[in-house]
Amino acid sequence: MSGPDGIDERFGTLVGELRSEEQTASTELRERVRAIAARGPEPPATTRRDRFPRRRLALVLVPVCALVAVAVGAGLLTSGSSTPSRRAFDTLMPGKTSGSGGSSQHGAAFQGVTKPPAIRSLPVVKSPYTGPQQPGLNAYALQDTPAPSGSRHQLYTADLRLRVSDLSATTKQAIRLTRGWGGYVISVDYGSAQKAGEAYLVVRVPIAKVQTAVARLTALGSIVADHVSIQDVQNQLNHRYSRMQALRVKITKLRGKLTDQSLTQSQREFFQAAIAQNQAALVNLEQQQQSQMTRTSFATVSLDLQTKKAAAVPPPSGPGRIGQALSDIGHVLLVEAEVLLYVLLIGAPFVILGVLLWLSRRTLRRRSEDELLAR
Amino acid sequence: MPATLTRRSQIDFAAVCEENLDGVFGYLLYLTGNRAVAEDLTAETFERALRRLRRFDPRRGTAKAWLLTLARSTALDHFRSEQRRRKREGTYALLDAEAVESDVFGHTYSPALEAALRSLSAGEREVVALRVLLDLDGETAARLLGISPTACSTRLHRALQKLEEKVRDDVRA
Repeated sequence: MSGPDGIDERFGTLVGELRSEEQTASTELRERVRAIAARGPEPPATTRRDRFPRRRLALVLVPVCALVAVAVGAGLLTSGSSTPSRRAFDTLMPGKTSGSGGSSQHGAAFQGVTKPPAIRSLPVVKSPYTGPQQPGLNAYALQDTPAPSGSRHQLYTADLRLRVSDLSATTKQAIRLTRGWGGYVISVDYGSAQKAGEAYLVVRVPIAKVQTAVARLTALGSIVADHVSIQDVQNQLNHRYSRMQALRVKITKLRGKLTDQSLTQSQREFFQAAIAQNQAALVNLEQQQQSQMTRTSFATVSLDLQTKKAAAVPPPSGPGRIGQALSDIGHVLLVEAEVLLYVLLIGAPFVILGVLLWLSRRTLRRRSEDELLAR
Repeated sequence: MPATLTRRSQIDFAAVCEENLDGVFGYLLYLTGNRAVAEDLTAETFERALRRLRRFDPRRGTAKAWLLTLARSTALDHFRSEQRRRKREGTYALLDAEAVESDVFGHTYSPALEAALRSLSAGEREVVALRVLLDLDGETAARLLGISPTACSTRLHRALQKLEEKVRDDVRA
C-alpha cells in the first residue's frame, strides 16, 4: 500500500520520525549563502533571441542560405537561354541537355583538326522570318560562325536547321540570296506552293562570303540546331603538288634520255612508255588538285527548313525566363540534396560512432557515480 | 508564495537561495553524512548556481530541482576528489573520523535512527532525503538521480526497509 506521497504506508512511523527533524542550515552557512547571493549580479533580461540563440540559428541559417543562394544564382545565371553562360553551365553539367542536339562542336575543327561531327543545339534565337525584303543579319550567327582561313584551303560545311513561318517564301529567298553571293544550288526539295511542312536545300557559296551567308540564312527563321565543320586540306594539296613536281622532273629527265642517239629501239620504246605513264599520272593529279581547290573555294551550306508543325523538335515555348530560372533553381537544389545525402551517408558511421562513444562514456560515468554513492 | 526564478522577470536569486537553503543543506547532509562537509558543499552549490544562473530554464524544472541537481553534482565532484586523495594518501583516517561523529542527521533523532542512517550508503540516504525529507515527487526525484521512477521507488523502498530493520535490530540490542 502506498500513501498519498507514494511511500509505502508500512514505513509511516519511520517516515514520521525522519520528518520530525527539520534540517536547518546554521547561521554561519546562512550568512555565507546570503553573501554569495548579494554579490551576484542580476543576469540581463532575456529576449526572444535567448530562446533561439544566435549560434544555433546561424548553424542552421547559414548553410541553408548558402545552398539557396547557390541555387538561385545558378538558376538566374542559366535562365538567359541565349547567353554564353548558359552554354558554360551546360558544359559543366553534362547530363543537362536542351533542344535537339548534343554537345557543341561549333568551330572546333577550325584549326585544321578534323573532329567527328556533332550537331550543336542552340537556343532558339527570336528572329523570325518576317519577309524576304528584310536584309538584316543575324548578329548572333555572324558572331559565332567561325571564319574560314584566308591563307589555307579548307572544306567548309554548315548544316542549319531552322524553323520558319512560310516554307515556300523562305526557300525561294534562300535560293535568291545564294545566287546573289555568286553561289549555286546543289539540290532543293520543297513544294512550290507549300506553306507548311519541311524543305531541304543544299547550296554552295563562295568561301569568302560564307560567314555572311550563314548569318543571313539563319536570319530567315529561328535556329533549331546548327553544325559547322571545317576540314583543312592544305597539307593534302601541298603533298599532291610535290608529287606533281616530282613527276614533271621525271618526265623532263626521261625526255632528255630520249635525245640520246645511241638508244636501241626497245630502249626508246621503254622510255616513251614511261613518259606516257608519268604524264597520265600527272594529268590525273592535276585534275584532283584542281577539283579540290574548286571545292575549297566554295562552302557547302545545308538548310533544313521546317514550319512549326513539322519541326521534329518541339518548340521551347515553355516557361519563359522566370520559369526557366525556377526550373534551374529546382535542378540545382536537387543536385544539392544529392550532395547532402551523399555527405550524410558518408558521415553516418562517424555520427553513430560518436553516439556510441557518448553513450559508453555516460554509462561509465553513471557506474562511477553509483560506486561513489554505494559507500 | 514561493520565490521563483524566471527568465523574463527580474530574478530574485537571493530569495530563491533563502527559500531553498535548508533543503539543499539537508540533502547534502544526508548525502555526505558530515555536517561540516555539507555546509561547505552547500555554499559551493550556491556559488555554482550564481555562475550558471543564465543556463537555468524554468521550462525544464523548478528552481529547487535545479539547485538539487547542482548540489548532487557538487557532492559527486567532492566524492571523486576525496577518493583520489585517499588513494594518494593510502589512508581512511578521515573516513573513520567522519563515521564517529554523533548527532549528524538530527538532534531529535533517536540514537538507533541516527546509527541506522549512518549505516546506509550515500545513495540510499540520498533517495530518502529527496523523497522523505524534501518531499519531492517520484518523477522529479528520479530525473534528478538519472534513473526511472520505478527504479527510484524501488531504491526508496529498499532504503526504508533497511533503515527500519537496522532501527529494530538496534532497539532489540
